[in-house]
Amino acid sequence: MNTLHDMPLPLPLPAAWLHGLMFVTFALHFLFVLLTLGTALIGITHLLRAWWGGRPQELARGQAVLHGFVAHKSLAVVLGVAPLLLIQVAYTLPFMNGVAMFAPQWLLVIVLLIAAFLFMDYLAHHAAGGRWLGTLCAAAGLMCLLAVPGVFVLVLVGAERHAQWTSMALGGFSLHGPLAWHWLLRLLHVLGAAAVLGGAYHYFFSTKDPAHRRQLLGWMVLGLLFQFLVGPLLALRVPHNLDATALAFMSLGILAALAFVAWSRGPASREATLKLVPAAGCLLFLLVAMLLTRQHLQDQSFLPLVAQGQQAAAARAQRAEPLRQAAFQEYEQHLGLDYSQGDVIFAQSCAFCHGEVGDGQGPLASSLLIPPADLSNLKAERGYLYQLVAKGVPGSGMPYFTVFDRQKLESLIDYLGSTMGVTDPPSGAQVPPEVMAKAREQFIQTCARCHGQDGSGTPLSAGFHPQPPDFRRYTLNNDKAFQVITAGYPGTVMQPFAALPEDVRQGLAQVLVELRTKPGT
Amino acid sequence: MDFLFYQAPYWGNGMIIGLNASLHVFLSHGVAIGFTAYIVLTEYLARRRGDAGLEALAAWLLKPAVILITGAGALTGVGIWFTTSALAPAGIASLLRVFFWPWFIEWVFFFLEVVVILFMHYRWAAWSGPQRGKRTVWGVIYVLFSVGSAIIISGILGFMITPDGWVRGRGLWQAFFNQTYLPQLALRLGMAMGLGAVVAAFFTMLSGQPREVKQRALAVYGKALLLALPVVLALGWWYFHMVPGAYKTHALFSLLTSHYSQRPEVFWAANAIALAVLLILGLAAWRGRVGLAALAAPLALLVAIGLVGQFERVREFIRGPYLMPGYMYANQVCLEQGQLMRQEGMLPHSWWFNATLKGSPEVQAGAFLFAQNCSGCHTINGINGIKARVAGRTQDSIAAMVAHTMDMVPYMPPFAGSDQERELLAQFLYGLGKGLPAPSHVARYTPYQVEARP
Repeated sequence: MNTLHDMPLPLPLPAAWLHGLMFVTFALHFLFVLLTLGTALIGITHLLRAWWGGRPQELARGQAVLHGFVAHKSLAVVLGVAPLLLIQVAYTLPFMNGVAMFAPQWLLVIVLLIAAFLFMDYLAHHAAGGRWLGTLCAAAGLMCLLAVPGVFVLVLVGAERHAQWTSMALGGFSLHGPLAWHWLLRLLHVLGAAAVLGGAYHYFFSTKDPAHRRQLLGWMVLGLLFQFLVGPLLALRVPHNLDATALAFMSLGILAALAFVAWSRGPASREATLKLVPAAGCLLFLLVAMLLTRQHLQDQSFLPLVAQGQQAAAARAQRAEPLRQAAFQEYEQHLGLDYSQGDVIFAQSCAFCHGEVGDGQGPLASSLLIPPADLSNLKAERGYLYQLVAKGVPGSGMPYFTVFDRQKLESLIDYLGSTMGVTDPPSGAQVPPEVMAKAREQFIQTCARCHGQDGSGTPLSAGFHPQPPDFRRYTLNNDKAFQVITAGYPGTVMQPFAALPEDVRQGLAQVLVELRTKPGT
Repeated sequence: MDFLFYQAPYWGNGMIIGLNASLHVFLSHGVAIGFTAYIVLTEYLARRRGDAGLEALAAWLLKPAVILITGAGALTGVGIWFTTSALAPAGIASLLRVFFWPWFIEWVFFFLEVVVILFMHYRWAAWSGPQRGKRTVWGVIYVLFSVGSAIIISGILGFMITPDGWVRGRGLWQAFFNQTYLPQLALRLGMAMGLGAVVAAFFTMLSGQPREVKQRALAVYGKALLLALPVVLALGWWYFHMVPGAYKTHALFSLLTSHYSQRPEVFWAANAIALAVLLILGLAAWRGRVGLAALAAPLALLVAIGLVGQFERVREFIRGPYLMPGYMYANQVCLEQGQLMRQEGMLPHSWWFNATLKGSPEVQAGAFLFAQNCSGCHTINGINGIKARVAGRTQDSIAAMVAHTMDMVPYMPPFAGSDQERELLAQFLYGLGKGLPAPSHVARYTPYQVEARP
């Protein structure tokens, strides 16, 4: 039984199609993510050089680069939706768990993106302003922006290591040791790629100035060299051995990178006249090769878990299949209930304790230490009854019912009144006057200590859980009152008073009625 | 239950999803559809009337629209995916399996919207003279794409209250073309018409254009707003007419909650004031009373956001106890699997519980059962906090109530667990109600960091 279960609903497309679509849409999204990051890194570097390095020509270069930020980030965000949908369908089990493991950080991404975009927008439009403010905005914007791929890498690192989920859980879902290094190297590898592709984009689309272009080519080449350093370190830390397929994809990418670096030593680069098509072709080929490597390595972890999860889900769905009709019936029955009607509310919300006829003998009544009230033997003022239902009785099992709006509670009280006569005035019984005199005296001597002289309670009873009811507004029918006086009310402070003479107890039951009908007696 | 379940502290999962989503609804209906449509209309009228003032206004209004759409609108929309995947993973994953193609198509519309609005943003000024017609053409194209998104999402949202034949038949068309689809779509487009007019009026007041230009623009927006109000009321009536009575009956409670459920006049008063503010703006704008419109516009904007929040709150709440009626409860337990768990217990079926046992087993089990069954709607100590709701109850009565949650409170799902597990949950809840300190991380990742209670 202890296997991870996937969703029981079928996939909308064959798995191979889902994976293919996911790869393509993710590649597009990732391309614009890299451009966004690259634009930020390169643009801010230009601005910092202008502000602090005493090179005013860098200001215009920075603004030219940052001009593309709005388009890059908008496209990165919108293109990100499709892979997010696809990964949630194709790799539900690992991905959703990865997200949940780092849910606070994941939720923070939206806030980080908004903050980053605002800071970068400020920089794009106000770069010529104060350098202190500009530097602060640049630092803040860059931190927020870089945190976003940091969170994505974090979630994927978690998702890819289902064999370690138990230990990660017990460790409080924080990354230590090898996992932390893996995360850092992976993030750095993303940033290196951003430098390369960002440099390339701006080389071809943001400037014709040879000096600026030479700088941007520098970003590309240094970025690639950085990748040659970080890449192998990362490769050593991937969870599964690099198999033939992964090595093949990776080699293609490395070849493309080497080709580009070699080409960058040529005369075209010195003249700053690299051609767009071969350069873009080479770099995009490199990107795709590395993304294929990444996907292949990730699939080695994801695919077995997904397959196992789907099997387990199918097996459990089969076991639940016989219960489907019962589930539908419960659903259809629930839809047929009209809770605006008092009789429905009573039958559904009250009867399981108070009984279908309100006698306090509902199916769960016997599990309660304090028995539910016997409504069929209860008489109360409408307003008081309403309060009991709306607020409940603290210290007892009677819950509050402000979960129903006023109209519903009024309807329920109407039902209690019309069916069980709860809101009728108390009927009372004939008790000889001399017995009544003894009973009233007994009340003052024994009962009033908790119930008060007028039945409304005392400071002592205010500390009981539950408190006694307010007898000015609430009575029990005489027989029921006699029974409670004799045997006590289980689970409460009301003890049995069987030691009192029987006729006094009968008189006390009538005293209750008098408290209600003639207050102050 | 094999998605780890994060419980957002204080706010609770549902509130975070709902607040972000409601903001997105305001932005998508009011700005992406409505405001943009009014900008296109303003430019069109400016061209037809030869009104340079309105032309300048339309160009000015495009800027906040672009910022709101590509910034807040796109991000809150993506935010819906982020919040639901973290806070309701089984629910969103299930909906995604059913509605993958509609959502994928909607994403294509979303992508085209962003491309077109950016295109308009960069080219608007250049489209002058003989090219001026392109502003209207591309503007209309943009609005059609954003309306396209609404046409798709309404099917999915309608399904979440009226899944109709999908419950038994599981067909996509059955699910999509359900009985609240057309009414809800019509209502949302009507809302866009009204919200857009409010947003347009608001930004017009900030535009710095001459008073006469503002007056001419406001005349259009004011008339539109006054027309939109009865239209929205009528469409709203139609929509709620198609919602099953079992859900509709909780509409008032969804807004008033236990705090105000006994005072329905609060709802009527608040909405009367809201309507009055909108009427004042509409009338003032229509009659050229720029000063009064300037005062009313920011209030109307707040009121409009509030009304959107009200509608979304009602719609999302009243389908309780279901997340997908006939299939899944609001706590992400599937109906028939819930039946299975009532027989066999929930804990044996829970990988995460079994893989990470730590600390006192009773606390562990109770906290986990709470997390899975209840925390979709209840926090411990925050909004809709369970501690306040079980305070004053005895442990035996808590156990009794848990056995009958859906009967007692019709929008609360039934407990999915065995009788023994029900007692464990009651023990946990009773402890909370008595004020025993909740285990320190129980609000987040129960039960993995729970410390044993003394």
